[in-house]
Amino acid sequence: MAPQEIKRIDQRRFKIDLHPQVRQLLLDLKEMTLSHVEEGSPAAKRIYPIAYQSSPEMEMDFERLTREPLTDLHRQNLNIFESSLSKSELSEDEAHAWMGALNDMRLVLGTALDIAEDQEAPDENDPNYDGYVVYDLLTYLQGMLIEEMQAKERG
Amino acid sequence: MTGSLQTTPVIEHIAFPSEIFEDDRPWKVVVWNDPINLMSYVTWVLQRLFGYSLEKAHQLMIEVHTKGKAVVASGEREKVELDAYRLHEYGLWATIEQD
Repeated sequence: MAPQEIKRIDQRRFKIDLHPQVRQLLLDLKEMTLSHVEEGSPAAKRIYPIAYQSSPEMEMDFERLTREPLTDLHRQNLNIFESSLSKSELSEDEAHAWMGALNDMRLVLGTALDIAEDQEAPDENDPNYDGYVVYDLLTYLQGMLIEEMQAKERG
Repeated sequence: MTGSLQTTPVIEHIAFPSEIFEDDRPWKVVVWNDPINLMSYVTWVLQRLFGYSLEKAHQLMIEVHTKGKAVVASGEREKVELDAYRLHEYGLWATIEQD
């Protein structure tokens, strides 16, 4: 059985064991996600949700104040993710950045793939098949990270 | 979060009764169902941001998932704006509404 990719060691550390090909894939995804976030492309619409749905004026004020810090935060998480991707151990802060980065990657890729509520298993003949497989990998890793972050007392 | 979240400057003016009434209505933060964010992730974020127990966060997440949305916090406008911003930091679909 393959070792678990992300595992909490103690209150402050997580053990990381990713296949080199998975690391490279995640690196590429990070770059792609960051460029969508910085451009504010349609695939990044879930990164910048509309807060005031019924008041364009209030939304404009809210966006003016939050857009830049929001972009900075996502950029920071994605960059911490990249710089700690080849480590075998993560701190709690790094793991937290990973959570943000993995979620951003799922939000951008999932939006590009137009993921639906009851998404069916990907069909091999679908032109987006590879995208769905990568999306499932991100879901798998994020689900594992959530479980391990909640397992505070292990170690 | 870098920098501070400022609120819209309030221009001094004479408040008419209708405006006072309008300002008094409580503000709410609503989280909407989204096909991408994991259910376990939504629960984790609600616990982390608002200090909710696992039970309460789970209950709110189920409400979001089954009813399409849930009010996760309420209060003054400045507070709910900050709450919504923090939820946006985590990529949750949060909106601000007034009763």
